[in-house]
Amino acid sequence: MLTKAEDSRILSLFSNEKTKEEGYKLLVEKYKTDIYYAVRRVVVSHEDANDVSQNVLIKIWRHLNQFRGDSSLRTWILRICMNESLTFIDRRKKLLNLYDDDYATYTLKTAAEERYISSDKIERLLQEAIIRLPEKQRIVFTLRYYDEMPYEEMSKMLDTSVGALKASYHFAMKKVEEFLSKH
Amino acid sequence: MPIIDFEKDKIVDGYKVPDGYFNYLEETVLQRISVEKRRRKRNRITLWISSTAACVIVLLGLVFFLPNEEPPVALHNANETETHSTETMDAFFSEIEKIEEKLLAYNAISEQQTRQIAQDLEKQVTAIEEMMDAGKMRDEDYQMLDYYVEETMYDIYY
Repeated sequence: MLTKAEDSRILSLFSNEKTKEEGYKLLVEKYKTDIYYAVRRVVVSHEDANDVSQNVLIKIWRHLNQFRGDSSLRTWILRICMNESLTFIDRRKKLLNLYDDDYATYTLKTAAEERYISSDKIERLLQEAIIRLPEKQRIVFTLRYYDEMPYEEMSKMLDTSVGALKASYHFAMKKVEEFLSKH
Repeated sequence: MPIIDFEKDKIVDGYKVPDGYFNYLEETVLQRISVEKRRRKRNRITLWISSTAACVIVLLGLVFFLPNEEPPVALHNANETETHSTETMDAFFSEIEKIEEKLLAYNAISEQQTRQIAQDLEKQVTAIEEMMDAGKMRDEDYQMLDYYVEETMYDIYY
């Protein structure tokens, strides 16, 4: 309820040219960590997550007036996060001329060299298992596992049926379990 | 590794950030927004200046290139040619009439008189040719006069 009221205030302030910046500051304050971690779980490295998060926040500034309220503001923001992250990965793959498997190896190497990452063994193993998932499965898994997003909300966000999302999460879970059991 | 129910016992993602990172992120983004706002404002001013300049150019174009009340140069020249041509024709026929009167008056025309009449006629021919060269005669008028000159010369000499 509080979230909805806060979001309404943000949108109301943002829609007025005089208070636009104030509304935007409230939005950044409220969602910056959600945005960063949603992006980070997909792109993995902190540097990349920083770049993509900034782009997401700039996109929000440019397009928040187009938000029609078909979903919650958080869902709308996370959708931008996922789109921007996938676009970033696609661009990186093209730049490095890497296919999916090679890119997973590249990302694992990046994660291994990453400074801003936990040294806890289980946490690192789970990260590695998630990195090995195809990007879209990774998105479904992280949204469900870490953000506990309902499938209906995820369905609106990713334009995918609830059934397909459940199946995707199920397969991802199996792969993660299998990886963890082997290590 | 022992099998764990990681779905039940949530494992945190383990991603960390540098100290004060989220403040840095907020400040950086707000700075970028401020730059973008300034750029957009500048773009709007540039657009306004360009539009105004374009309007001025179009307006100047309308003032200088649209036809005014005076006829176009070609039409003006055509009218002038027609006036000159008509005046020349009138003058010529007036002279021809005088020559014809002289021819009729002199039953037996002397050689000296004939030369004089021919000289008068040649003056007229020269004047007509000058008019023609200056573009002040219509082609059809010139051809008609040429024909009359030949006829008159014939009358004079034969």
